[in-house]
Amino acid sequence: MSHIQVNAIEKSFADTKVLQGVQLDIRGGEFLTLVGPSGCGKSTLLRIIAGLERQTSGDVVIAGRNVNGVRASERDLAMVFQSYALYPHLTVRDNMMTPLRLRDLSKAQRTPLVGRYLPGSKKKLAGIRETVEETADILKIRELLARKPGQLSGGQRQRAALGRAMVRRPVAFLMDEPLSNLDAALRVHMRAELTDLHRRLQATFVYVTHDQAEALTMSSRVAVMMDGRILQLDTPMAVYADPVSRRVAEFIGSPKINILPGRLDSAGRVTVLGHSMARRITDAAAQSVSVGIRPEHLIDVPTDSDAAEYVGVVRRLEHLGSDLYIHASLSDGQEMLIIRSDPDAAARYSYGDPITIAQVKGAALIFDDKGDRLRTAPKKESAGDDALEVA
Amino acid sequence: MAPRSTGYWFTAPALTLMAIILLLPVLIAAGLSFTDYSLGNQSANWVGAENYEKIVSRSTYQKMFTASIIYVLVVVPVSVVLGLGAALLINSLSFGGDLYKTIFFLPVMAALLAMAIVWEFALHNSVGIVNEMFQAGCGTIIEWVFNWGWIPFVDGSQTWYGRNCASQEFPLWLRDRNYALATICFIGIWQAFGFNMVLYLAGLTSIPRELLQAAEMDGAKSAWERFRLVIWPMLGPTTVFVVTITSIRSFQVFDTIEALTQGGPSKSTYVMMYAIYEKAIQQNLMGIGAAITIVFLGFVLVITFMQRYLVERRVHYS
Repeated sequence: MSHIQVNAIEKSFADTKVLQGVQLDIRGGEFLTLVGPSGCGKSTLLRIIAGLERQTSGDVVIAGRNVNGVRASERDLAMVFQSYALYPHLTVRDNMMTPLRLRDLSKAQRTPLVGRYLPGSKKKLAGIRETVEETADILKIRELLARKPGQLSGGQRQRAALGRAMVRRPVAFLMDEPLSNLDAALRVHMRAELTDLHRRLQATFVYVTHDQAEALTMSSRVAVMMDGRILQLDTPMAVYADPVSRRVAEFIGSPKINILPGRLDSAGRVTVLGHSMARRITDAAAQSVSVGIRPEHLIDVPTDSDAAEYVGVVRRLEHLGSDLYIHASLSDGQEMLIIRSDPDAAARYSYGDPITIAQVKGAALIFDDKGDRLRTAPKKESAGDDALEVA
Repeated sequence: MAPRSTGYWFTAPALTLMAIILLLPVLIAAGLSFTDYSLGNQSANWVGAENYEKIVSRSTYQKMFTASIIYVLVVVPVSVVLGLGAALLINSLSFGGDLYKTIFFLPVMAALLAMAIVWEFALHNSVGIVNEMFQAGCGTIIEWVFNWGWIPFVDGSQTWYGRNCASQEFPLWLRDRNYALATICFIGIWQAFGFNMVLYLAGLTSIPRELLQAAEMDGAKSAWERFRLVIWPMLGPTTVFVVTITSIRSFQVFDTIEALTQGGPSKSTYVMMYAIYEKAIQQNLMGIGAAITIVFLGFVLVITFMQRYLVERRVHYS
């Protein structure tokens, strides 16, 4: 358990700048997820931390030691690859023994054929075997130790790769999209297992993924990366509920946040499709803005309701069992809204039906024309806040 | 439901072609090997196993086996190791790899017969560049280095280079039975290793990069460790193929022998392929030629089965 500092890392491949001054402080023992769309540089950053790639400029400091000139094999980190990268010709046991063998046995003791008969080898090998078996017990793969990777399923390979990373008790675990080769059900299951494992090992995990569900469910903190920059680094809930920019808001959350065009006047009042919002923006000039509203903050209401705010036509119903997402086009334009509703609503709507929509008060996120978040003035405490009201 | 015979009808064209093109000639050769048939004769006499007895008993054929086996045992390991070494070195280059690839692959592309003429000139005992080079080195630092006299307990004047310099006589590479086979082996290696190198280069590119990175993360610091942990096992299938193909090609060596030594001197380079050619084509002794061919096929079969049963079991195919 150790903390990792990434200072002003830049990385260029030929003319393209992949990382543009990334600053990151990974606390010891935390589960930090780097999440972003493909090509945002998250894997490159992880590989720079690992030492598999050299940064163009900047420093990586692991446990207080600057490791810029230190090669990957000497950084004492473990990595789990997307393809697992298990040695296909070795059994799971040998795969897991490899890192320990390379660390604990001397060069002479590693010589093929004769090495194991040298003094000290036997005892060390026995120790290594024991460690491997203990680790295998934690991961529940003891009965797989004699098999080769080719004879394992995706999930079992995943575990074997984790085992190989764990045996050495490294300073930190680096994981490069380790779940993306698994099927959906197994992925959800492995999410829980990884969280468990993190709690049990109390080790530092740096996890790269493009899947926001993984980022939100497992991490202590999430770093949202785009275009080689970290846009926001915060707890999963903060990143979801309080995004710093429109791009973060759009990337995190599924289905995507609804974005409506709005207008901010000099009085700080935001108008969206003819409706003014209750909250004021105090410290920004008049400009056109985007208003983001999460699907769960939109509610379909009876046509004659006072709360009715937007009127639209149902275009698509997305039934997920526990939730129903209604895709509606607004009558006054091209705008589409996604509304989360309870499954019972499916009975009330079908394609082409009119729908009236209300918004949960105070939930809208407002972004300026550059996409940065505009903060609203602090709300007044009132009983009505929790209730459904006209925003 | 189609009748049971449909499947046979579908495979019939392939089976027929295979029988006519592959199996029939072998069977005819096998039949001829028990006769004294010559091309142009109306008939042939059944001589039983006489041809095979000759192969086993006559010293000519024993020399033939010796030459063939020595050639294979020298050329295969050396060209495979050199090919692997060259491939690893080229693979580690950041630039210039293509140039080396082209140069090393040239002997494979060039017609060996044409190259043999170049070698014949190069190895000529008086005007050849090889002996001229050795001669020019005599009395200079080159002699001092390569007569190994600088190694303790080695008498420089008694080593190969020292003695040859003293007598001012260098071997007739292709006309001396002590050197001829070694020279032919050298040319064989020169020709084969570029091919093996290309096969190994292809094998190297198919090694997943993540596997090498995993080895690095696991603490494999030296190139040797990465080689042992990842590269060599992953090249297993390539190695099996390279060894098999080089063995078979070495057994088939013919053009260098025909162009440079014609099996001589005193049958020291009388390899099987050349023997078949000499007996069956030049001397029109089809019977004995066919018998050698069958023995030759036997060798190739043995190599193939060795590949199948001894090696494949220990090689990992992903």
